[in-house]
Amino acid sequence: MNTVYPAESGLTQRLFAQVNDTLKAPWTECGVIAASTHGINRHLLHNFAARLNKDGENPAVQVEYEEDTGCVVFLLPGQSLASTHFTALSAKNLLQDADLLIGGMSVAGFSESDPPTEKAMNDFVSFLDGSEPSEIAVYHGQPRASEAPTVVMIDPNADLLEFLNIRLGLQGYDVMPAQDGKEGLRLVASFQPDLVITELALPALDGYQIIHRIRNSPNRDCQVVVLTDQAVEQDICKCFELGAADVIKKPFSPKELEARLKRLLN
Amino acid sequence: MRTFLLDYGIAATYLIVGSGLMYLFILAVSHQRMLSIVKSSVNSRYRELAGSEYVPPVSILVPSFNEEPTIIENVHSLMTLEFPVYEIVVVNDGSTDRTLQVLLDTFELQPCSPASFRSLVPSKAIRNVYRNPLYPRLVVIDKENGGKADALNAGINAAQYPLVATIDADSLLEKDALIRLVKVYMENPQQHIAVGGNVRIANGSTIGDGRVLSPKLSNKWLPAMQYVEYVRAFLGGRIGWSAMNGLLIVSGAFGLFRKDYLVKVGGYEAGCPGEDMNIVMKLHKYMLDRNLPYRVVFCPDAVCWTQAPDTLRMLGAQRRRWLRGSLWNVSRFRGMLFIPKYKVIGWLALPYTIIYEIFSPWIRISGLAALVGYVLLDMTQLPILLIFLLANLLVGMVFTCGSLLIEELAFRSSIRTNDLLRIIGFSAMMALGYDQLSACWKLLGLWDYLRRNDAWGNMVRRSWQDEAAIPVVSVKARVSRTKTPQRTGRLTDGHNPIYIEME
Amino acid sequence: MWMEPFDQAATVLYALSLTSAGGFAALFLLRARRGDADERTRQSLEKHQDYFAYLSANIDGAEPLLPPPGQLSPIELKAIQSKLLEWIETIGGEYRGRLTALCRELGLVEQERKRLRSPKHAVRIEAAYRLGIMRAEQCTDELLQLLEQEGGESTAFVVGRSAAKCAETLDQLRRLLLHLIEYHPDAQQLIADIIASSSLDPAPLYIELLRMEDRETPVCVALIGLTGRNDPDAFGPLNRFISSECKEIRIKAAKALLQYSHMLPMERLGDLIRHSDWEIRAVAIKAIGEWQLDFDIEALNEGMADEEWWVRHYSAASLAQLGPAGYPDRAFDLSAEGGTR
Repeated sequence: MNTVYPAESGLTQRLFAQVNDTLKAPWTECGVIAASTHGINRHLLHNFAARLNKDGENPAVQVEYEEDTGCVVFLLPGQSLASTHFTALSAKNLLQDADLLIGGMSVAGFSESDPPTEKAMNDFVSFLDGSEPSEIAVYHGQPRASEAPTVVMIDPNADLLEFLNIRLGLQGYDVMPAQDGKEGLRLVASFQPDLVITELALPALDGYQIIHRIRNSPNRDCQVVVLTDQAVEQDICKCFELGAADVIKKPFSPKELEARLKRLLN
Repeated sequence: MRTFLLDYGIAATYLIVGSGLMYLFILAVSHQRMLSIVKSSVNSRYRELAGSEYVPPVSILVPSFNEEPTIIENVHSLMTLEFPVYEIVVVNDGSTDRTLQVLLDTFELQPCSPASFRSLVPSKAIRNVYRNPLYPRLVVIDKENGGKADALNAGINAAQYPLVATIDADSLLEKDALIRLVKVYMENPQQHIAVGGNVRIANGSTIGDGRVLSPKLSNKWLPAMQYVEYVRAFLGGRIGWSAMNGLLIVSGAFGLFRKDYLVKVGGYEAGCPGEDMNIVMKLHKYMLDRNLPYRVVFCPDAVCWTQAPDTLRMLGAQRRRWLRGSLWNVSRFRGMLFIPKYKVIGWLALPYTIIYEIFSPWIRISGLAALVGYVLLDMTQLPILLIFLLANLLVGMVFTCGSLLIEELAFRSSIRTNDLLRIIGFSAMMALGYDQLSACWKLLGLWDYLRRNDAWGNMVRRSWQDEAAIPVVSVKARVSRTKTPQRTGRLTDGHNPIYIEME
Repeated sequence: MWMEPFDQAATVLYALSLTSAGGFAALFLLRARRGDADERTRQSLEKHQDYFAYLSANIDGAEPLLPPPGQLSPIELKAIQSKLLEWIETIGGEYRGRLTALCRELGLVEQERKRLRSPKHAVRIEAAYRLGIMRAEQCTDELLQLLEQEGGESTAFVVGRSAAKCAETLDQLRRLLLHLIEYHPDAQQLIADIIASSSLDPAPLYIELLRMEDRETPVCVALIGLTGRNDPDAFGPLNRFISSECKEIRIKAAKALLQYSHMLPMERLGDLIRHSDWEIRAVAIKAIGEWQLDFDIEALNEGMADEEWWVRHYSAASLAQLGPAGYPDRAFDLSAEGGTR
């Protein structure tokens, strides 16, 4: 194993051991937060642990500073991924207020039923290097970018793009957002995605044209899912006629969308 | 003599201030309703309606005559509207350029027999109907040249849906403009028989992919001046008239009508200058004659962008034509004046139009002339002239200010501060030159109208050609000159200047 | 003697300049305030970007979503609200419920509820609009009360839509429906759309309305609402209205009924195709093509000779849709372009 992942370090080993230890004890779940920071002294670490525990919600927070990799690690016994992520928001505030944060942060959650493997732990640690400065990356057991199916998403609504970008990213897709039809087609041409999600009412080039052009392009395997406000009977029929794989009407259930994507891509 | 000149000048000043006050009064009376419209449009989500099965389908009519440079972009922009079910009926009114050909080439249209064409209102013969199953919303109708009104009638005949929206071939719609108009219609489908949109000047704004990306004030003074004019007229004026149900014009650049009523009033009138006022007047008359409840509504949040003429010559031609149109319609419908059953139209809107169109330029020009004469006789009285000009300026300023306030409060305008300052500057300049100029054009328009009225019959056609010759040449010249990737500037707001009777 | 007009003019000019100066001052003040607010909203959103990432990532988790850590300034809260409302409107299903629960947790529902009692009309309307998006069930009755004050204004539709979104019981929805019908009898399509935005199934209400046979508007609204649905319960009542005295109702009923074409016996369909109202003939013939019904081609051929244009049009269209299965060439000629659906 060690040979496959050259990035593996002492940090991975220690974390792997610690998390496994925690999961043996009374805890069924354990969250981990890692952040690249400047050096932090023991006193400050204690302070952080106390502040994160101020409501008594995180009884056994362990904070350690890893000299060799230059990162601080918070171990949160008993916390699920969601609450770890939430605690990470506070942790980030603390680190930022103390002017310590220099790189990105990453969070992960492990449970008794899904204990960490060394590989997973290594992926998690390498996530820290890959994440943008001051961004909180979530490790969810997703595959590395090269294996991930690529999805181009075209929608004029930036909020929706942002939301689905994160959601689908967590499901292990490599998402490329575009706000209009032309930009979308450009992405399709250059990245040859496995799937395209598009709105019908787009500036410049509408959804029908996008379906039509993709169906008639060399990249015929690319599936098109229409996600639109504008789904009256006529539109839906037209989409299927043109070769869309699926039509979903907004407001939509992201859960349903994720399930449908999964079916289409497997 | 001197006393007379002075008194005349003073009287003119008061009349100008007075007409402004009357206008403000109309606005004040109608502010309640106006606020209600604004509140409901701010607190609505149009995307919700854009996918609703309950929204009635609309046929968008695009009459086009020699629109080769802009028609493709316009159709592209229309095809990406946020609206559930609609069709775009482009009527090629016997263009002499390649308008039809570029449409056929770009959208790979195929001729098909005119199945959905019915003769509901009179129009000239159609030559062919073109479609492409890939663009199910697009229909192109090729017909013999017959003028804009005739093209619109052909469009009505070809439209398959119960609502028709008219739009100029050189205008661009905001993507939610149509659904906003239709929402107003849906609030009372029985009574809202015509709904007009808000027309704005796009010169100077960045345009790409068939939409206005960032609205900006033009750097040229003439379009910028017209921008101020439009903002004033549309926000200040139409909202007020709409609230009183005294709207006489639904701009030809962007309006929505119930097709059944258009058919009932016989459609657009061929050979009529100012067909957009004509059709609304016909609707008013039809409904009031039968004592049916109805409203002609202005919807300020449905925005349509249009290109304003940017040379004095083209603008002058446009304004003269507008005035001729108004006069033609006023004279056609003069029977409605001061008749009790015609309510607001007969008692207020029509008289106001007459005063505004015919008397106000006289008053402005003659008042100014009187005072100039007076001051020439006695140079020490120069302040009087300045007071006159200042009064003109301030009245205009109050209007600009009111319109901008409405825009800021209701529509969160995206005008940049720099542009705003320029608008204020232009608004001041307006009183010192532009107003007088436009008064002159109105007088010239009046002259055109009267001259023609002497020998009505065949004079009409000849004059069409006379005048049209100028803009056609200049437009062509400009098209070949300008090689910018943006749309070549075209004139019109509903009145296409290059509509000519070809025979 | 010249002074007098000067004085008068001066007064008028002063008044005008004061008005415009005041107006411009107000304008610039408003702009400055809005610019400032926009900037602060932007900053708040940037600051809470991680929080929104947390929401997106954990919206499917078992635990409820938590409000952002630490104290929120009113501006931050407003910024977060604006984004949450935007999300709620595009996202449906289970996740929407989690977001609306978060709004409640953040105190947004309570805050807007207070604004619902504001003396300013614009504030009340905005509060109603937002409560609707947040699906604030506890406020439905207040929204209905507010609606009653609105009367015939167009803002009534804003409040009505919110009430529909919040409605928890059919009783509330019924109150809303009857109120809208009473004050906006003509806006039938819009009412049906508003009612459809509720999370409740309005079909039982519509069937109830169909029983008010003597009143045209409720019946029409019900028929519109039932069109495009597939509810076998509605079939019986619809059938009756085909013979209504009101033409509008007959046509709407026929349209709604033809949605259930699989339940219509052939003779009944035949009646519709030969009905004395051309509108009904037209929709019936259109339905044959659309649903690919196995129906006597001869009737369609008869339709091609109908006196009414629409009937001929749809006959041709339907013949084309049915394909070449045994019908005369003539229809092909006439309907080659028949795809004008």
